[in-house]
Amino acid sequence: MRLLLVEDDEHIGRALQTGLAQQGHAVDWLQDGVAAELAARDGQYDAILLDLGLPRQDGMQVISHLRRDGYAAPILIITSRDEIRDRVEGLDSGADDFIVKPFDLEELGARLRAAHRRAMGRSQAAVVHGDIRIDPAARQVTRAGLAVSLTGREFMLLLHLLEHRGHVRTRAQLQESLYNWNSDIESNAIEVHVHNLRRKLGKDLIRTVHSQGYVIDNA
Amino acid sequence: MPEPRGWSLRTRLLVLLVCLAAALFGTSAVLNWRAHHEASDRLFDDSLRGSAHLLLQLAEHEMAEHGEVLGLALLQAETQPGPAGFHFQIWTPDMLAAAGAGAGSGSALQAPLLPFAAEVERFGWTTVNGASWRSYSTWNRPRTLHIQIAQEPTRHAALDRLALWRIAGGAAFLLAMAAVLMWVVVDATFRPLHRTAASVGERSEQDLREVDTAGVPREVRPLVDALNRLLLRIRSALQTERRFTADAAHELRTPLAAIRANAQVLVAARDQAEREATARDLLASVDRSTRLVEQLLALARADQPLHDDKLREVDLADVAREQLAVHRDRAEQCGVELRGTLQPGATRADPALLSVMVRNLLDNALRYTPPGGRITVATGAHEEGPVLTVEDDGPGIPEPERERVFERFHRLPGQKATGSGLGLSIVRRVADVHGARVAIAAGEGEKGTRVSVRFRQAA
Repeated sequence: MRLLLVEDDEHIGRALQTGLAQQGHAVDWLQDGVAAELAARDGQYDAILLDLGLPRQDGMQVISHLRRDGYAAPILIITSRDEIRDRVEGLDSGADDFIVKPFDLEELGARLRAAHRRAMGRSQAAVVHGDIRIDPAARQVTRAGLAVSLTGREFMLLLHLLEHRGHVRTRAQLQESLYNWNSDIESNAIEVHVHNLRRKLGKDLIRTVHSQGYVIDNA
Repeated sequence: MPEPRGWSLRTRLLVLLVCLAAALFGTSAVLNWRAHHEASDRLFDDSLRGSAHLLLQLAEHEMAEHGEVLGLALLQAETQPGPAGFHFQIWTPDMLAAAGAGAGSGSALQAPLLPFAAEVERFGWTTVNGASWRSYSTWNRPRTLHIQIAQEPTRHAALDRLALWRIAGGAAFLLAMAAVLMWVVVDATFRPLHRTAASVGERSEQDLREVDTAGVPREVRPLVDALNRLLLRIRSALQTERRFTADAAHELRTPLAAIRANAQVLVAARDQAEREATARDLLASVDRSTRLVEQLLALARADQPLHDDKLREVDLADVAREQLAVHRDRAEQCGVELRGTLQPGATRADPALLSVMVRNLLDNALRYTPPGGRITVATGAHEEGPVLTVEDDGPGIPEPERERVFERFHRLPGQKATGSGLGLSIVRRVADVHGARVAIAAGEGEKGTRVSVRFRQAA
């Protein structure tokens, strides 16, 4: 997933960025509320992880501004405020989850996946397409019951295309969903990943739409 | 003299009232008895006088009828033995004419001791058989016969004793009744006090509501009011304490979250560089929690009331010099110039707390002064008292924030939250317990921050 992390504390921010990257996510990290709101409006994030006590603009304000303007992606609050009042206020203002520090990184990952799944309108944890089955939590892919080994980026790309089944995704969109701002991206990176996925899962899985992008058609 | 333990207002009041009543009833009984005694004495005297005149009349009658000698002899015979408890003697001007004695009594009265004075009549006391008898002497009207009569006090005394017992018994009974009634009244009077005491006594330690003043007597009201004021102070102190604990727990979450996250990232590190960077962050997070805990402890220590035995003559310059030396290395690492313009400034203070204060001021200044900046610590004696100032040419604190920065865990908005948010709270607290005043202003040329602490004169 492409994530926006907004956390003003250096140590937590850096650890979260690295930890979420270890789980295969592409994470952009910002430290203030105003920049976070701009980035959210600008980028294609699958979810936002938001601290509440932020410089320049409070997290709650960021949420209410974004939701007011119809921002749809899941927003997860990560905070050290743990009063019931804070939780209720946070969830009611449009957040999808409320996670109190200190938290477990695995759990944070699970909550992210759950929020993302709900946003995608799925109830099943696994994504199934034909004889291909993807388990986002375990990051495992099977084809006809046999495990297929994918790299982190290949996995993210496959999941992204499956979640947007029937819709053509441009190369820029795909790139954005896989890489954060800091990544050095080879110009043919997406082509390479698509090539590898076709090799491992069958050449008909991903269709190239000429001069537009790629799509996985509905089964 | 210290009051004995468990001293009771009620018991004391009751005892005093009973004593007072006893004194009053006793006095009344004594007066009563004396009145009775006088009345009975008069009664006995009257009867004594009556007997005397009766005997005189008898003697006159016998003498008129039978002549002086025979008459008196007859009288003597008639009156032998004399009336019980009476002794009498009748004298002519020349001689003892007749005498009689009560039944059972011994010899007749001795010769009268009193001279034949001019008095017509006289009561007195005479000793008969070792006992004091009431006596009476008088003349008949023509002054031809003189009689002396004495009466045994036994019956008289027995009657008096009876009366005494009655009076004393009555008084004792009334006193007992009064004591019971007083106990009831005093107990009822003290009941509101007991009610108030019980309502306070039954409370749990959590219950710091005000004590109800309804039905509390005016005399006790100041006590209840003082208690309520104390409760209010305790309540607000507890509230502060609770808020502080909650804030402290909240503040500890952040470094703990960083430690946890870094530890998890470290476990899953994908390469050596990531492992090293994460380990460094982990250490920094641990340091940060350690520092926060230290600051919390420093604040807790500064929060305690200052005892006189910790106060010393301290020169602010000495404290500043010591802290400047301690921070020299760190200033160098930060690329900040650390200067001191130290003039003697003596005050009475707890040296340990003063060091904590200066350390926090320097720590803050170093934290917010960019490389190439300058920090100046100045001490000196001013007219109003010794002053310590720490000035930096960092970003400064905007005017509206200058009071709020003293609040616990308050950080300037838009700042990287590396500080504990407690430094200036500690400074303020140390100043407060020393009766010193802290003020924040802009530094020289309206740049940076100048924190000045004005102490009291060493006196």
